[in-house]
Amino acid sequence: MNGNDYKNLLSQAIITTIEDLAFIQLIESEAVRGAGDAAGAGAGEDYLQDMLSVYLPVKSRYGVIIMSASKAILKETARNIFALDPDAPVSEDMVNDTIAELLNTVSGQFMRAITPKDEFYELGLPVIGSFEMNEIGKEAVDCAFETENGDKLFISYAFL
Amino acid sequence: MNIETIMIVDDSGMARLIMKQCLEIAGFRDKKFVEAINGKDALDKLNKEKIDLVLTDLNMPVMEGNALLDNIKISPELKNIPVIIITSNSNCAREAELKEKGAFAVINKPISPALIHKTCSALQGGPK
Repeated sequence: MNGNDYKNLLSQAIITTIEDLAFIQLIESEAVRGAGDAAGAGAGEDYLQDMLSVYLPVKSRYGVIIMSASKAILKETARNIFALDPDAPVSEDMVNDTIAELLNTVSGQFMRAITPKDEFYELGLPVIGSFEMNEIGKEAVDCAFETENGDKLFISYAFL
Repeated sequence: MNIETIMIVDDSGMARLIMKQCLEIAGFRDKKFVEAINGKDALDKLNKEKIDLVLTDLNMPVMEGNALLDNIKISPELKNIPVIIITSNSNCAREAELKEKGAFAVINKPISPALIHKTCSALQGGPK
């Protein structure tokens, strides 16, 4: 499996999850390393970053999956799942819960796809914070997406 | 099997809501739901109230779903309660291990009402 295979599987996992859970269509855009970081395009209070550690047994290696998403996407996802009005307020806790659940679900789909069926993979618990992809992984896969409103979502997978 | 009270165990409020919505669409609209935020919270509630079915996540702080399953299956009072694992942390190998430990079924996230309906129909002895 090469970098393109990982990228396609990660991309498919996020597109499927967002469409299934929140009925939001994502359009893939050109990915730039670190674009979702605090210092990149995902900068500012309008974005939230979440990291989850993973263990890939076939390579006996640990890795991380990091998602940066605009709060607009997270709020729309929460409103769709909680069946709220389009302009209903969404609390910070709900936004945090949304990115954690999205990342957990996407990571599971991705790890299931890249792990041999007779081996176990492990997922850690999601951690919200501020992470720099450029400092985390040399062997990394980056994906970038936009909604039709121009709201952005970035997801990266890196071996440590 | 008659299911009246269903326990949903997940540290994410959103995940608990998604499970509840799927159960309601799958035909469990008029049932009682008891929510727990981790395995320990679930065990505390299981020892206080009669529960007919447990749906639980695996990855949770304080007590994981694996430990909850073990505790349910070694308890003479609780061991007959069916446990369905709903998780992102499972593939074929993990599913086999969880079923060996006594889980009735393992469903990968994201879940859907159709998957819940199919699993619960099997639990109740056939299609509804």
